[in-house]
Amino acid sequence: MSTNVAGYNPSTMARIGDITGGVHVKTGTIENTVALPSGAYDIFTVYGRVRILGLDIEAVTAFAADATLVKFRFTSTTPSVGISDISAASLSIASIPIGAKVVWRGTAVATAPDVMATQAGIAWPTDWMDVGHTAGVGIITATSSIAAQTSGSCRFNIYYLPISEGAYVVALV
Amino acid sequence: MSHYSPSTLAKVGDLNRNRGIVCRTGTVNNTDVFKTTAVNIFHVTGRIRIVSLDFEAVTQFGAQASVPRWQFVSVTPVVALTDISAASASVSALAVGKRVTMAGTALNTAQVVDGVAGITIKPANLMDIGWDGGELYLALDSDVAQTSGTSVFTLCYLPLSDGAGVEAVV
Repeated sequence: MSTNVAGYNPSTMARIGDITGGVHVKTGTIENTVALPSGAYDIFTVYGRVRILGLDIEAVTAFAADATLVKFRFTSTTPSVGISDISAASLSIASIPIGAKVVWRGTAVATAPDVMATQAGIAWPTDWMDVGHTAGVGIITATSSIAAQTSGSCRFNIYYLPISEGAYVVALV
Repeated sequence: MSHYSPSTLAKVGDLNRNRGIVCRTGTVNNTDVFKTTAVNIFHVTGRIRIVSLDFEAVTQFGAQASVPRWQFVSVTPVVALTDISAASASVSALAVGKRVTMAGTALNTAQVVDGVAGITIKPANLMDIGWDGGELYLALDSDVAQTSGTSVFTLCYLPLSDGAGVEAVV
């Protein structure tokens, strides 16, 4: 079993991350042509009410040079509420390199995600946002616009804490 | 990833300062809690840090123009009812899933009503309340009584003094 300087095994390290940064759920690797098609793409289902501490798109391979914008949205299906923004649209995500991220900020529903031009440089969001309802169900969606991504691949990450009884998040893809 | 049981998920939240310990009421009838005078909602022992304090419409509120504000009344030491927020905008016909959240910025800062049901922005500030060894109630005074609807109250907090804690009393 591999260990690190602190002497923890990887599963313990993951638990420490969950406790300090929120419970981490990620999607698999998705082709950008699927996930960022200049349209809506459902990524996470939210059961109950959760507190989002972090939400991002990570480039698994370099993105295409298409000037795609992306924002995050939430749709409550139970109770039925229309789709609503939980961010504004980002700047262009064209050509972001492997490992770079599009980082949701959480400050307001009209705050744009940050787009990282490199693999480092953007701090963890300092704000959080609660989504969902007591005993409700909802979906978090990435909605891209202006241009479809024609190559590259990505994964989505969410870091959250449950607020209502039994609340949790699952990846849809 | 994160195949935790619900009880473990809850403990993870307890240990995170962005949530802390959660104390929630059950679903309560609005007629029992949104009244013209203060109604005790939570009992606080010791000193706590309020991370978030809100109520959520489980069913749509009545059409009465209630304007709830949070107060505290201390039993030990004795302190009379004191506002810890200003009144929110009217919660008349508050839609299912909408929440009203204490901002925490000042004792006269109005509560914030969700713009969209199910999406709640982080409160602007934290607020500490209570005393080491003290005992108080967080109460809601709505000025105008609700005649229908149901709701749930949620308090996320961190204990700051020895033995500090909260229990719902409705």
